[in-house]
Amino acid sequence: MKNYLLQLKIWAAAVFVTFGFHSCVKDTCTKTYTIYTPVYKTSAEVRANIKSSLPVAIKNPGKLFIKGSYIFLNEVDRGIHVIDNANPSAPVNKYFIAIPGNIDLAVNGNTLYADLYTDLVSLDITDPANVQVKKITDNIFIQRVYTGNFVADRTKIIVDWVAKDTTVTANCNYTMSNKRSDAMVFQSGSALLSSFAAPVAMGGSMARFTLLNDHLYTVTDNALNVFNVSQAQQPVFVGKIALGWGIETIYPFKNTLFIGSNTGMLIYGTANPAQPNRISTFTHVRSCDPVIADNDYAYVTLRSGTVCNGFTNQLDVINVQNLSSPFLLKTYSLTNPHGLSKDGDILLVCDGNAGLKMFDASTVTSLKLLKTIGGMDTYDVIATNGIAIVVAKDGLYQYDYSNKSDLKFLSKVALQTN
Amino acid sequence: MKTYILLILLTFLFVDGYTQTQTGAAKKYLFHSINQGGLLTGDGNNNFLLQTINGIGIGKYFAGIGVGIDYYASRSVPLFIAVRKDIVFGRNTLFAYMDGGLNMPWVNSSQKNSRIWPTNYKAGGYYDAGLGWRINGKKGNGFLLSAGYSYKQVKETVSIKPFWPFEPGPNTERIEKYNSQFRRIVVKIGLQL
Repeated sequence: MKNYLLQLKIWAAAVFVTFGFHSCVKDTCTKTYTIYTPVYKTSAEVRANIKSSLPVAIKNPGKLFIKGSYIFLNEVDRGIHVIDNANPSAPVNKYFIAIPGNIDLAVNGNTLYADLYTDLVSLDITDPANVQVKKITDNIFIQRVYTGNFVADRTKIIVDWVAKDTTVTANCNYTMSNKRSDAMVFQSGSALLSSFAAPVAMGGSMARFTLLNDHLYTVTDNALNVFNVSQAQQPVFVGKIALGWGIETIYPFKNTLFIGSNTGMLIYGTANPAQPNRISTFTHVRSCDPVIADNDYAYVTLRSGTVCNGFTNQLDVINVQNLSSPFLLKTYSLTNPHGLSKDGDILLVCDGNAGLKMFDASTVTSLKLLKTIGGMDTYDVIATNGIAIVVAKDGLYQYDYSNKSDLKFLSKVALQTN
Repeated sequence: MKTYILLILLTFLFVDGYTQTQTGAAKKYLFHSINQGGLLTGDGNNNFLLQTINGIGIGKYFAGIGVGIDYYASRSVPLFIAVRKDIVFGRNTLFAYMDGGLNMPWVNSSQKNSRIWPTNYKAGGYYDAGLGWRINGKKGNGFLLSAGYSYKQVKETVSIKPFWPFEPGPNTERIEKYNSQFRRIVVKIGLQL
């Protein structure tokens, strides 16, 4: 009995001591991330440096535009690679045009249009080895601001970022609960993307620049900007049309503009090119959605996994025979589709990390998957004349699709990863 | 809290003074299954755990492997090595225990669905140390009551993609690493079979 009482006392003391340490119990949560500090240059310094320079390694490829035997490939936020693609099996990275803040581009004859943060730059690319600035239109893309707490010095231009890892204390409830939103810091709130389709010059489906009937159309998050480019190297800003929020891409189709938003597809007529008019709207679930069109049908990919929200990953085929009343014809389930391109009966879809998919689209209500190239995370594709140029996370790929039953690998320009 | 862990460790190593009946049967190897549940209380959060420990006892010592479910802050599965030492025993027993191993995240569907960005969870550290009281039954069985200090860690890596694949900015994909360390008081009850 004596022993029993002794044990009880010891255990009670232990419990007391344990709870005595209660004030010491503490949840500690840390968050490690990279802080990027901008490196600025003056506007004069930046503009003086917009020229053909020695090629640089491709690190973060963005939009692309093909013009003749050249590929103009955006290096996100830094400029444009000029790649000689006379031989698709052996493309040569020849020049680099430094344009800080650039993410979009379009080519009109011998003129290349590119965004420089808030400005529009017009370049004469007659001689790719010696491109020349012809005009800079200031403050067109005024929505181009960074989200989060970062505020750029608007009197200068960001030309680089210095990275530094840092660890800070995080709120544990915030970290572990459902409340965390993973807010994006230092990401642009309204990026501008590019493109256009024409026999000799062609952009991707993720484009936010496009050309039609001597006009350059660019979309921002909520507006359509119109430029008269009848004098290609002297674009004149004509006006702006409000579109509503969530605008993502623009694609020319016959004499209309197909504008992808994260809630639908808008169709604008260009009977008056300076003032496009809305013809109709096709609404879909909230999602990111590049769009292309071909003859009687539009093809829209809807994907999840971005701030567009949504949980849909599919390809919608929309009947646009009557532009005033488009309707959904068929839906195909995909993994995480991004850009797409169509050439004849061949439809190529970048399905994110599921790779590149080639469909036989001769019957749109019954697309047949012909081939999947896995092992790469694909963003955008341009398919023309039997050659598919694919932007992926790890490089720029080219495939020959002239044989419908196969996608023949031609080349890869690998990215520099460090 | 390091002081507390040190006290338990010292108890393990040096406290032997009240052992009274260690001869004879003490040398026999016996399999034990310890099954217990408990309450975790920490920095603004209370939740419960369940665990089972299975191992071999010899004399006043026990060693085994344990696995459990820990619902504190974020559901996880601790997998650990457990050691115990009887400090004072007779009809009932006072014991010290130390568990150490890995804490493997087992996030529930609501946590998964709440993440906008792909999140990769990694195992972190886990340990638990304290004192307990065993009311002995027949054939080594007993009812257990224990209190201790418990630590678990959860590591997360979040890959944040930009609004657009070609978003301007310093990079196109940001990596954020979260290291969550939870220190709790734990009180457990259970059965030793």
